[in-house]
Amino acid sequence: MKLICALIFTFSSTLFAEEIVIYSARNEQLIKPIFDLYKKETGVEIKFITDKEGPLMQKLKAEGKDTPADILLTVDAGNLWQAANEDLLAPVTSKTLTKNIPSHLRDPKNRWFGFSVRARTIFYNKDKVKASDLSTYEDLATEKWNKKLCLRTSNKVYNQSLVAMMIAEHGEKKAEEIVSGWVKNLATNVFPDDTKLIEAIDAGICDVGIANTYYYGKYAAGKTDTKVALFWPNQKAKGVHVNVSGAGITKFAKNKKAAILFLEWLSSDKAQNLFVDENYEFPANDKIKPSDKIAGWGAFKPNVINVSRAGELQASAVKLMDRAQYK
Amino acid sequence: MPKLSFSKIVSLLVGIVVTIPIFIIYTSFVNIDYEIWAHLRSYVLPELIINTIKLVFGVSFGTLILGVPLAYFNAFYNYPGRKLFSFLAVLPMSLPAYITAFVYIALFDITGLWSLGLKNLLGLEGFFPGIRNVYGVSLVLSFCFYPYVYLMAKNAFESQGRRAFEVSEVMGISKSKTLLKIVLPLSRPWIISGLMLVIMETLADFGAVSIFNYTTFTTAIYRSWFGLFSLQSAQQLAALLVSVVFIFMTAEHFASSQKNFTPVGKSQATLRRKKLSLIQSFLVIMFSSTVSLFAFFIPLFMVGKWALKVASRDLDSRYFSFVFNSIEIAILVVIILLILSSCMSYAVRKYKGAIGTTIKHLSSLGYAVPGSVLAVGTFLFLTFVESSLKLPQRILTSGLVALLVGLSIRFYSIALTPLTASFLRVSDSHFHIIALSGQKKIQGFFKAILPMIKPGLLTAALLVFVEVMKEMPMTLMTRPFGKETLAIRIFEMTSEGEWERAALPSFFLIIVSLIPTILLFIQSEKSYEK
Repeated sequence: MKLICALIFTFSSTLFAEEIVIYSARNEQLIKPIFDLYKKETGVEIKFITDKEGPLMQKLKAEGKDTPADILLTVDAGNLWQAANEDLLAPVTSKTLTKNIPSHLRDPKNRWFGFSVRARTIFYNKDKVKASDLSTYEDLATEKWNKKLCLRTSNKVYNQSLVAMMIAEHGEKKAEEIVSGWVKNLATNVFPDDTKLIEAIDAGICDVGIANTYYYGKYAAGKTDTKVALFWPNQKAKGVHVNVSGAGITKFAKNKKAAILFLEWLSSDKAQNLFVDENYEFPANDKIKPSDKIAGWGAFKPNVINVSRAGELQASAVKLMDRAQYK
Repeated sequence: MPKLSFSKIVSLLVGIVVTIPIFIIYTSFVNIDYEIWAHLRSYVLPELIINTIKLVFGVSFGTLILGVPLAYFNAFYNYPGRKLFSFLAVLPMSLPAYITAFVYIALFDITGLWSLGLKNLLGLEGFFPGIRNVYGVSLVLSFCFYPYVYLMAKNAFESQGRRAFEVSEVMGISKSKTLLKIVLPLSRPWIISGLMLVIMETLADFGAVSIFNYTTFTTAIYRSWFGLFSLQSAQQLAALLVSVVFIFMTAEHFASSQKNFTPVGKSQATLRRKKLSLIQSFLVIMFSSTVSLFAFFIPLFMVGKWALKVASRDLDSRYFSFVFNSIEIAILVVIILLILSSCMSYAVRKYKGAIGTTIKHLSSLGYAVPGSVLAVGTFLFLTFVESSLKLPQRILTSGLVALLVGLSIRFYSIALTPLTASFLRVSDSHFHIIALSGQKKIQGFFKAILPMIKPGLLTAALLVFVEVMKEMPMTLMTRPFGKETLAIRIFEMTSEGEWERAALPSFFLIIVSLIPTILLFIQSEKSYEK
């Protein structure tokens, strides 16, 4: 009898080990190919559910120790920081992960790791602006860009992180002056998404704007005659603002080992390019070369301040943007 | 003390269950983050409250100006193509508001295809002003939501208004006077309840307003949650929003409860529609087709165009299951809600006390709560039930139960509104007759009452079906693994701004939603012609 029990136990535990459950705020079309490849290589099935990050975290919280989720996968360091802050993620000791992922792209306590990097940079209309006129994010607040700047809504976490990083770098007072300067320089109301903003630069409604690189990648992919060009700012200062999409192991993960193995695989050269390519992002593992698709944008110096600061300072950033009337 | 009948007990229970997630939102007040509130009060709320009031006025005005005249012409008059136009008038309901909003931004905003095209054609300097303002967003939401007002008003007009016209014609009262003094006041509860749905949907909307970048009270709710990481403050804001709606509802209830709305005379179905003159017909047709063009055909055309563009890349066999899952969930929720809301509206009709009315109003508030906030409330409620009853692991939250409960809570008022309205038509004498005839209660219900509330049932079924098809936050949060629907597919594409790719699932969603719309139309025409 004991033997049967033991057999059933081992059998069922191996059965369960063949499956990982992921809650993901990164959309299906960007993660499914990766999960399929992982299954092909290892036989491990990945079950997943997608949603916005806020509700996913609440779901994890409500389920508590009964949660089926092993991994929380989400976009933006601010959200990852929040998940760790709410005690939803467990610290992970993995040499592979700490070796493959640079320290500024992961939680100082190793509760989450960035797996793809997106840069939030400056775009400009080639007919109206010379690259030599551009320098920094901060410069966009000066008078020479009066009525020439386009911004996306401050409701989007990408802008909240950008401003949070400026607080980290300059302190709140100066950051607020910069943001107020941006608002004064707006050519038109803020835009609902980055694509619309890039369209507006292309149409000449504004001369410059700030957007994530991958929106530009997708926008330019279908076009031969775009007037929009990319500029890497702050190269003589701290560097371009980067953010991550990343993941952590949930506190009550049932298949912790299998889940860590998956994250390690995700940081390897086998998976990195596939994970980032479809979305025109950069590999987080800096030993891996970006694909040709994005290499054409040129090399740039990223800001290596730890991305978790974006989470810590996000609430302050949001309040600051409210005060500066950045809608 | 009134006798507790089966329907009363059921409706009491349903009322309580449906209200709990809303109640959970109120429990957030145990802990108030004064710092966040001080910030919201000084920098965020003043503008947003004004924005929200403007939007509610704008959309109310828009939906009334579109919905009531269309209902009026289609209910009272005959003109060439009336059947077609009364069918076309409900079609915009099948379009999710965020899709219509996106199409409008893509066409008519400063970088819009139409705006830039016209600018180049005319060789203009400068740019068109764009539509990301209160007028643009009100217009688009009116296009999306006017069918609620239209359906409720048409229902009211057809069931009693025409009789009123005949009576006043005999008495020599002018048409416009009849309309203003008799028909509209008599139809008020119906029109107002349609408008109430419009207002609740406007208040809870986040998708369409964010495409227009128009900040409302709901923006503040999500900004507090996602930006300031304070779900609590978000819930408190949502609770305030819901309280305001509740006060409105109660006020309207007291304003109209003193009146009797049972029909003048009987067998209204035999009445004939009046013929319109040639010029009048022309004007009505122009009005109807303009509304359909902007509210339905332009968005449909753009969605179709984009869908074709991405079909070769995205269309695969999984779409069978997306369509199937969407329909399955919608039908299940329709069945649940028709049963529950019939019980409730039957019980409340007979029992006019304050408790019944309050429960009815409370339970219909789910529609005014921003979707994700209600989804979290529902999920917390279900996990709480699981753990406190020591139920086997995740029995409620892992299967379809959570999804069906959640969607039923969300759309309870959508089913309740038309049903309550049709029960208003059932007078006490109907029940006396059943009692006198010696038939069993249930038999009498099927024979005598059901035909009278049938239009209400059909309208409720249609509204719930299309709403469930479009719903995102609750479906996202409570669906079981692998239960992907068309709306989920739209979410996947739109969450990173790939709107054109979202057109493919949207196109399927619209087509599927057309089926019950057509069925409803055929049914309502039949019951009318009888």
